[in-house]
Amino acid sequence: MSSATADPERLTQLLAAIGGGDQRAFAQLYESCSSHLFGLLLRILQRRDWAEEALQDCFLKIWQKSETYEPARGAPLTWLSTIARYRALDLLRMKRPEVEMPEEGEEPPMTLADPGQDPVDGAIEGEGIDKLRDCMRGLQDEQRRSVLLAYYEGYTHQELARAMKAPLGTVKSWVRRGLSRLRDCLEGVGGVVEQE
Amino acid sequence: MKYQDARLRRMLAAEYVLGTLRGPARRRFERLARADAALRAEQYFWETRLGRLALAVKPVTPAPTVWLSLLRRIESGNSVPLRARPAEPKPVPMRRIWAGLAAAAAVVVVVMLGQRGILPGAHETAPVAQAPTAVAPAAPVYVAQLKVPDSTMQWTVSLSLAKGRMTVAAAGDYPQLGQHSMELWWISPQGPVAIGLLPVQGNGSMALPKAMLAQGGITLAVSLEPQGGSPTGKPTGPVLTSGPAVQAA
Repeated sequence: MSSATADPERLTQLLAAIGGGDQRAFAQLYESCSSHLFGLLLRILQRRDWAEEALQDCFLKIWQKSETYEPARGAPLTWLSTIARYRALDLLRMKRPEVEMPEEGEEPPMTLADPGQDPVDGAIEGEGIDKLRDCMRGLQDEQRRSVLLAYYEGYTHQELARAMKAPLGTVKSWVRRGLSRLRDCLEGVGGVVEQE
Repeated sequence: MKYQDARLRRMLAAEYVLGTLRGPARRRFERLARADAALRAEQYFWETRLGRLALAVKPVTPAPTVWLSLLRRIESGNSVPLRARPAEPKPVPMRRIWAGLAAAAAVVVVVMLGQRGILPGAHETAPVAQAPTAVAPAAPVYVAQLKVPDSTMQWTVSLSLAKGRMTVAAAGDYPQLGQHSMELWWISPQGPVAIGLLPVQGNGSMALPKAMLAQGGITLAVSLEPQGGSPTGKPTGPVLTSGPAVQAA
């Protein structure tokens, strides 16, 4: 993927420069991260025009608020993805009711690295053993599916229930149990033993 | 109060980050987290973990028009539509915006000129014709392909700075045009400079602005304007497309 250009140290420097109003740094950040964020937005929003709108909103926010970045929110690209995702969720909430299916003539959004591949597998390439993957694998199928669908499709509980053909209450508890187990595992409580 | 239950707080943070916490509950969480460091820590825990999932998605390069529209939004001060966020205005002088745009355009040009990984700013090293048989490029010709997304409309532009003229060949169709014109601009370091109205079909030829030079690459943009062109001398309508002109010979 965009390895060299998305180097966390460089992105951190760019964010700091943008906080000082450096337009050139802003252009460079856009150059480095926009395709990653756009891919993510397309995946969630499934419509190019919405994804473009969200991408702009997201970068406007970065332009105004880059100084709010703190390392506690993850590497810069993680933080930027978080901002993009939250914006996408807001847009979905405003817009999804009007579209249930992709519009006719619109190409089906196949933006995953490999449609047949488990998205979680893709996430760990080049990063060595990843706890998230192990912990995800430790979930029951329904728990895991509902968490991934919520993450990648931006589904609400209701939408999850429809997609998974299960009662709302059941789906809610899949999500909650899934997250709760995931948290225990990620923290190393009774889960996979962490090896440093 | 519900937010005092530790388990519930954790779950709310997790569902906030996952996205299943919606509507007023989502806003409420944001409000509370702003004043509650422990809740924020819980939120960040999930953001850093689940954020890994975002890296699995295949990158897709957005159309160049997105960047241009973004600049226009910053420029017009029409910032962050996210509700109820007090904007801290950070006015940017027009020329800095366009300088940034020119810098970004230079990157595009370098990328297009063969994958050599040259850094922006190194335009003087841009490869000319590699073939030893090349005709001495006394007067370099730059070409650009400008395509309007979501339509068949496109132009092939060829320009010679030495001659001060450019030729345009139009192809396709732009049904949404109506009573408008499409105007071509050169994005100079000082901002957009009008070149002329683009033909919708057939070929055309027009004079280039006298000040036009290739320093740092040439970026062209097309905007939708009232019939007859922009009344102000600057783009007034949406930018339909943009792109670099690259040296062809």
